Amino acid sequence: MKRGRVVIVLAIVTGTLIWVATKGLSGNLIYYQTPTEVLHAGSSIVGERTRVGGYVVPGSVQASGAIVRFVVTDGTTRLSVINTGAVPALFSDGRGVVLEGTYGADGVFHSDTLLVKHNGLYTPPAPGVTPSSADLSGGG
Amino acid sequence: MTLVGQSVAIAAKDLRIEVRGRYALGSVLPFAGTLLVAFGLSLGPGRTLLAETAPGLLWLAVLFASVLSSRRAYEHEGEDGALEGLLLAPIDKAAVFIGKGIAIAVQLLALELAIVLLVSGLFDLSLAVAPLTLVAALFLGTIGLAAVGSLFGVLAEAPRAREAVLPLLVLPLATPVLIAGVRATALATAGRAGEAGSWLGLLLAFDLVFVSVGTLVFGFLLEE
Amino acid sequence: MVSSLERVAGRITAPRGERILGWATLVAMAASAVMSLVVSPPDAQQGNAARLLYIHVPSAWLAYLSFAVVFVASIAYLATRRTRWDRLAAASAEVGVLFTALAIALGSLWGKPVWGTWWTWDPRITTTTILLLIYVGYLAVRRLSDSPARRARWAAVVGVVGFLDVPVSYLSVTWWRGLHQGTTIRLLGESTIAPIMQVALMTGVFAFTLLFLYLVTVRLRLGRLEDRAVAEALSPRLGQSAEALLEQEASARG
Repeated sequence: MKRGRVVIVLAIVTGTLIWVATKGLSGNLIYYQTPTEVLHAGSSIVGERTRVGGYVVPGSVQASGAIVRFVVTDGTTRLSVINTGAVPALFSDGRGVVLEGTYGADGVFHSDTLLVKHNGLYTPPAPGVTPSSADLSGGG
Repeated sequence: MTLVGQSVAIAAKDLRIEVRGRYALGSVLPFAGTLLVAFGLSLGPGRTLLAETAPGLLWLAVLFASVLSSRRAYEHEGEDGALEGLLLAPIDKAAVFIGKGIAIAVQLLALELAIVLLVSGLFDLSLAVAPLTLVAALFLGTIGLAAVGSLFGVLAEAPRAREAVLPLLVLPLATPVLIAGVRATALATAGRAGEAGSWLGLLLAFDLVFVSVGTLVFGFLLEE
Repeated sequence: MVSSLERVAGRITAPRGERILGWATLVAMAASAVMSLVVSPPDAQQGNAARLLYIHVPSAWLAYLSFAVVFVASIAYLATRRTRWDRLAAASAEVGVLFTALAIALGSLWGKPVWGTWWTWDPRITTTTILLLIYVGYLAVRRLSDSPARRARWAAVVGVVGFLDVPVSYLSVTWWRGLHQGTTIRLLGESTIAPIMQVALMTGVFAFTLLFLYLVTVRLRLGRLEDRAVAEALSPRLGQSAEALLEQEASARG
């Protein structure tokens, strides 16, 4: 094998992979829109399938049958949501959620997929509290 | 002869075989066409869904065509001990990789012309919005697919080769081409070609990695 | 450097090393089970479902570790042409496919109660799945050729190319999942974990790493026996019979 060729190939591959790594870690990429962005976009995204992320406003959750209504916020803007999909066991007030669905002309976000963003926090429960086991009751 | 001269000679040989045998035209293109019609039948007849999925269907057809073409590129070497002849020839092994890659890429580009027109007709893909971005995506994606195909096509000629091994290997490896190609095509046809830049960059990165690494390691596949 | 690595590897994979490693793995796995199931409290948010952390994370770690080993062993094989590097790559790939599949399956089981879905096209999940498919292809290539030398060369090329494909795939999948550029609120902060759970997690990672070493060691011995059996079958007068070799191996271990 030609030594010069090995060096050139190594340089190209290393350079490309470094470019890939810096691009991949730069992190200015988002997986969902915030309620502020959704309301700003307004009518231009009505009916377009999108994802919205935000925190559930405490006290806003109303469940009626399989449908759950609540409000999400990013700290500045609030957005009403009607979710028709399955609700994970971790869903509760104050939780970060990512919703998939469409923004309706009525100003409400109609989601059919509700994902709870885990905050990466693992702690024991407070003394005397038995955490509700999320294992089998989930999904309903 | 230099590496370039040797590569061109091998590419010319393969293309001559193709012109005389018309495998790409006679088998791969009809296959791609059948595939597109089958996609239409399975997803249609609603025009909106078809138009939305058209970039994905286009690249799936290209991907399958590339697997067939790269298999073919080594199939005729298996006959009459042609591969042994190629191995004994006083040429750089990398030239075989590059030459076969060029031949596969040229055939694929010709096939893509027909595939794009078919997709545009069948699924309402608007080609005229940003033709340059579309051509760049197809060109860069094709180089990557041809590099992967030229590198691993030779495995399909193994004594115990199964039909499924080549696609099993090529399809996951080509994930970046599939995703970036589809995204760039979707943006180009939706009039948002300005946002396609990073996808084209990703395709270029894939091409650089596979062409350069392929040049280096291809010899190991051929050694006897 | 390569030769000293080989020496260390040789010592671990000797029959005595393998036996010690086996017991150490068993003890570590038991310790990990106790830590995960008894010592660690349930999580405040997820309850007992969070205990999946202690096997999911170690499995995912082994998935990436094993394919890094395949990559290094493949390069070492192409450079030195020693069969032992090829056997190491093969052993590591087989164990790696097992743990990659396990990590994906456990993640899916965990995702259902916590996220509310069995599957989401999250960049890390998707990349791990592509990784699994690439190395299933690697194992398929290993079954292609009758000639051991050719099989080793082909596999080594796939091992190198497949590993280099992973970062590019990860970038493509990450961009694919993004909507478009912009700022975001951070829902997913820096991961913080209570000290006791951290200890349980580290125990799990340590135990799984030992398990990986042990499984690779056993697979290496099997590979050596296979190669010897083939060599013996090809030249019966020079070598001993396969049965004699197996007996020799068994008495060395017992």
